[in-house]
Amino acid sequence: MMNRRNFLRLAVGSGAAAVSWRLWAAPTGGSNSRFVLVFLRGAYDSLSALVPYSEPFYYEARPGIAIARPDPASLDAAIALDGRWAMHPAMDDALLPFWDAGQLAFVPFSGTGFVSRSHFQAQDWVEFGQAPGERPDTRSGFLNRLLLELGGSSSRQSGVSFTQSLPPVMRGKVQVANSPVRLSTKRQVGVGYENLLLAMYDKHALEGLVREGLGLRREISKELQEEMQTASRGALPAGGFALEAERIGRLMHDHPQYSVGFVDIGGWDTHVGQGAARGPLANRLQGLSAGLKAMAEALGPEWQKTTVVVMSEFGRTFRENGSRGTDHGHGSTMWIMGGGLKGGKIIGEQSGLAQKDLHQDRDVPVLNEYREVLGGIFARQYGLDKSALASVFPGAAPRDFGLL
Amino acid sequence: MKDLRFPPNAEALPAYRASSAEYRKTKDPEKRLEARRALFRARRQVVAAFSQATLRRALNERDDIDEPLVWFWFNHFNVFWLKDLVGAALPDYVDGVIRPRMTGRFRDLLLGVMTHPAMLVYLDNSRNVAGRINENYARELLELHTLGVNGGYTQADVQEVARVLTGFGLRPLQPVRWTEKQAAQMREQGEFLFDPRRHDFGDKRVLGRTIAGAGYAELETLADMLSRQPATARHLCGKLCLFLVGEDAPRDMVEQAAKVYMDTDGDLAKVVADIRRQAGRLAVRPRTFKDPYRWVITSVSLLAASRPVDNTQPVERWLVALGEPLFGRSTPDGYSLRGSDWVGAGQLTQRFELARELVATAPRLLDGPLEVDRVLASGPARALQASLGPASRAALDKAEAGEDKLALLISSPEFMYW
Repeated sequence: MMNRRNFLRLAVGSGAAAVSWRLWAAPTGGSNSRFVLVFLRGAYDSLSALVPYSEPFYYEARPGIAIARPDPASLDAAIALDGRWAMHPAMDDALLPFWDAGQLAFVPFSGTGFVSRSHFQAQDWVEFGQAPGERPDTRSGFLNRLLLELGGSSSRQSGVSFTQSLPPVMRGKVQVANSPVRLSTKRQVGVGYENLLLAMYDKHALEGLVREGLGLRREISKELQEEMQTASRGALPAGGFALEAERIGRLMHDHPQYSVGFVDIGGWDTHVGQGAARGPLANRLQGLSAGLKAMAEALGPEWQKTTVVVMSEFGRTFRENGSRGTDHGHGSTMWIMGGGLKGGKIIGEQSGLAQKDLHQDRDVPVLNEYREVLGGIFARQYGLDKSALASVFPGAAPRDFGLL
Repeated sequence: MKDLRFPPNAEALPAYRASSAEYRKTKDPEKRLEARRALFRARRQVVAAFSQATLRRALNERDDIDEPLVWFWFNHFNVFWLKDLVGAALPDYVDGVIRPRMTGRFRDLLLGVMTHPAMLVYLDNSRNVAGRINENYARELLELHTLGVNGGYTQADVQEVARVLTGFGLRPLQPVRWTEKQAAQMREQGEFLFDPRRHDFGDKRVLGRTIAGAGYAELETLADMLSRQPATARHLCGKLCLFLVGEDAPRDMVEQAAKVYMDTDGDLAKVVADIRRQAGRLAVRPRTFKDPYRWVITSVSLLAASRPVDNTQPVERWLVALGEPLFGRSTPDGYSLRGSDWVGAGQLTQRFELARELVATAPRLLDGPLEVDRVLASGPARALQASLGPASRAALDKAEAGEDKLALLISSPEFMYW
């Protein structure tokens, strides 16, 4: 398994032995740390994922969509994590083992230092990651600044975005390759044609990028072929995000130089009929959880060095709306997962969640700024010093939660 | 509310606002939500239809050298359709302000933008009220639209400009009963309203000069003042040179164009003509990496070989795939004009894949089969082939299928630059 997709196989097996896949050379051990950001676009309802079951007001405010208090006898009840918080039952199968192993933590009351209820604006600002009062520099996202601090384009550590186009969070001075992990087969380029392309760029200034880009595509399509072979032996691959996440896990496993990864998932804007223990939101949470598990498993031994953070641009209203859904809110919950985590706990500042505690009488307040949470993780994981962290997240004071 | 539809032209905004006044009266939450969704869909449909129309012009009016400037000036004064009613205001913003004014004086273009609902809503000026200042538009007006980031203004200037801009917003959905004095002070045009009740009538100090409290006329004074600043001339000419000449346009070209701008009181046709004249005299024009829009448009043009392009829907999709959808930039800074900002492994790979899709889809775009030999024999394709280096030449000769030749041609390193 370990050598299944190593350099030699890649070059020889693809019939392009003469081509030097410079950036795809045999793994050198790469970085010791990997980070993957899973961005939930559309603002997921964090109060359904991490349930404040000890708060009576939660059940008053959400008569139609609250997740029932923990009850071992009920399949639809939340799964207690501590005396205050519980997890959505749809996340249970995939994620409870991680929680029990200390490889999962949640940060409720987290979010941005600014208030925007516009999805696109909040997503942009989160991804740029600058100080709340500042006008963001749209040329630079925080993961790209992290890569710059890790050594920039010349470094062995590189970033990869599993998206159709390069998202704001990965924009910046460091070159980052991007490709969706769901490739349309009709667009794929055959080997003969690909060699003509490579020949055209031979010794051209863009040659390195062309090789890198085609190499990533080829890797992904190879994963797809192997999946199809597996499937034909009877094991159907998981659908949706689980499938994508597994591919991401395998790609990162096979390519230790990918130290920073990004993927986004849409479809969280649940204004209408979001459901409770079952329903559309439950299905999405289940898919996400299964995906995280699949990614961790595919990473194999690399999982020990990996941290995955799941977050959204903002939270949703504490109260359900007139359509059994929720509207745009403020505070949310971040998920932190990793093989080397000392988790299994709820971290960060917390406050009550009675009516009087709400932000603008409608939202969960933000007590843990996401940049401080992420900054703390980067500090530990990559050993970044203060000034490096200040370049990644200007004006933020990274918080150490003792997770790593 | 199910079948809301607005025409993709100046009628869209008033029709949209009339419908949204209707929806606000709905009490039932389910129906309200349904109405909101219907409005959203209608807005999106306006934008989609208008994008198609705009792309069709860009692809078919290839002889009109000013057509690309529509893209440039929209990008300079970028707004994003997803914000509130901006989508419904988009057709009028582009065809009613940008297009007719982009070859006149900059001041008139600027004034048109400053009083257009699209910009006033996009940058929150419709919420900028005396005593409750919202600086968002004031800052971008100075930093992005006129003086430029190092244009020599201060935070105090931003605040004072914000005061000038108080009261410039949208007509309320309900009719207003004006006093006689207010009726004399207010200005209304379409959905735009200067509301004297929301304006700060005190004197302001901007860039060391006093703008006396005078209501609507302050906006004209401000537009005059900002458009006549040398910093504005340099900022605009720098961007125009980037767009028309490329990344490494000589510095004195910008200075020379800025001088024309100042001498002609911001006559944009003369400025653009001067830049084109200067560019024509360059012995060597440095090559610049094409941004996705330029690459897609030139690719489709090459394949069309002067046949009309009827169907532009796939073109839209390609722009999305490459990260530069038309009217799709969410932030006020617009897309980068620097070619080097677009260079990337993912970008190149996607272009290679799209090149094949473009060739395969061309018959649908052109409403008829693609005649490979005719395309290869067309003027632009011949010029491109003549410019190919030996590596590209050799690869092209090895390609067997005619379609592959075309796809390789638009994938060639030579074609990635302009």
